[in-house]
Amino acid sequence: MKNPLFLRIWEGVVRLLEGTVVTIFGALVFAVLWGVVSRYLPGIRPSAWTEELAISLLVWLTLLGAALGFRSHAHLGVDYFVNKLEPSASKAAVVLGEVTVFGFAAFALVYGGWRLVTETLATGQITPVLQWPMGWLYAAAPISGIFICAFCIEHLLRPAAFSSPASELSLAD
Amino acid sequence: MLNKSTSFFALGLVMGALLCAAAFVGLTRQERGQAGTGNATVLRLAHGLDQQHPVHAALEFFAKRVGELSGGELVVKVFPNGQLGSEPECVEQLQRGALAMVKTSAGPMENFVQAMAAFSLPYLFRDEGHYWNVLNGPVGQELLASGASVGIRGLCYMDAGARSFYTIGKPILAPDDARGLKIRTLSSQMARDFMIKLDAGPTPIPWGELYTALQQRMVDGAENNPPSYLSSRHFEVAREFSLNEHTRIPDIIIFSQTIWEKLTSRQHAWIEQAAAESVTFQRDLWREKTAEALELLREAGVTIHYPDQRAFADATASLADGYDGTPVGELIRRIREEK
Repeated sequence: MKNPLFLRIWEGVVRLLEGTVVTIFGALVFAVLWGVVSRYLPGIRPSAWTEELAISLLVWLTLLGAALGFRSHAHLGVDYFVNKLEPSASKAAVVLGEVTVFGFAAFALVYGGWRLVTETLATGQITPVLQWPMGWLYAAAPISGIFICAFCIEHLLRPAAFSSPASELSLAD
Repeated sequence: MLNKSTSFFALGLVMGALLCAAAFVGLTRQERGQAGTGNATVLRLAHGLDQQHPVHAALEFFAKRVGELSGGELVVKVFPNGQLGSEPECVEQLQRGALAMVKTSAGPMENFVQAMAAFSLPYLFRDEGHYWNVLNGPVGQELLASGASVGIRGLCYMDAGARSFYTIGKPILAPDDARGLKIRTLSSQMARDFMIKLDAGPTPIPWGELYTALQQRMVDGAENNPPSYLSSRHFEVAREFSLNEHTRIPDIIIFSQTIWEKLTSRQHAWIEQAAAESVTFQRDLWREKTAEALELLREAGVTIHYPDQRAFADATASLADGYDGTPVGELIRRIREEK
């Protein structure tokens, strides 16, 4: 990555994703809290939309958060065996891991998710209370998949920027 | 640390195992696809009710009849208890052809086929006779066919009885009695509007969490048909049952359009005949179970009230006005014209 401008834009996109996840989490807390409070406050009808909104937000929070977690290697991984390998072999193992994740994200999340979104939109299914098209709720899957694929490429191109199992190993050596 | 050659050997073994597993999955999938064409066709039917429920008994009967009529060419496998997901989730799978049949309430169907919203209107049907005339008449059949464009083919209706209020403490004997009470409501716009019309607080709570919600007085009451009121054991907490019978929302059995088109016309005829037979079977069973449920409730010390249904119908009559000029409003008008 020689282009610092491209890199700056990319960092901005990641910041934006982080901001989105934080906002979604805040909205989720508010929605659930209001759902409970509105049941007990006198003079107010119990809120009907909070449950549905909370479900939708949780779906987006989970999938977008999973992508961000993948970028910072926050997901659980068994690195015991990888660390036992000779350095060049363990680097190869890390690359293989990235390729496998890329393949899964591209096939299951981007391709599968995109089919799910378009097919659901075509049937015109809507959510019961908010009357939102169900297909857009599912859009979280392909979007998360695109980010995971992009983060895979980033891991491979700038391994030094992340404390991957391989770079930790090289530091220890 | 391992030396270089051992390391790469280990890595190669893991990779090889991974590739073998992937190839194995691919091969078995291909094999299964070929096996499906020669032998019996398996049709999977999913629903969310328990095995004690009269609708489940009718579906088992349907499965048995399809097997007998087709001489084993078609096999219907019933998956109860929401094993394959909630009713709306199953409908989505059905639209994609992953499931052949689903039993669902016509209530949540309105999110897939808008016209179905008509069934949720309170006091749409004058009585049970009117209800069955409509379902078996042209309007009912038209509604069954109305989902074809979104991959849903309606097969038949099943009786789901009439829904009535049950409350803790104060019974609902007149429309005014519901004022200020928090009532658990189905997740549909019409059900909500109905509660607001009665000046009650509609509270959406999942059916499975309702027992605790009643116990903690998060809600003052709920509404359902007698067999569900009994089987959910909500009568242990909410002991006033007012048979005001505000809605009659039928259960409906739907078939996946994509799978239907793959079957032959002979197979279609078998399925339709078995469905018609199971409808009669279920109607009798439902009537029996409702009477039995009321009897058991009475024995359990529940007070059963028979309020004047006319008063509730009059108080909520204006709900239909909101649908004037829409396709749902047109359906409501046609249903009311039916004898």
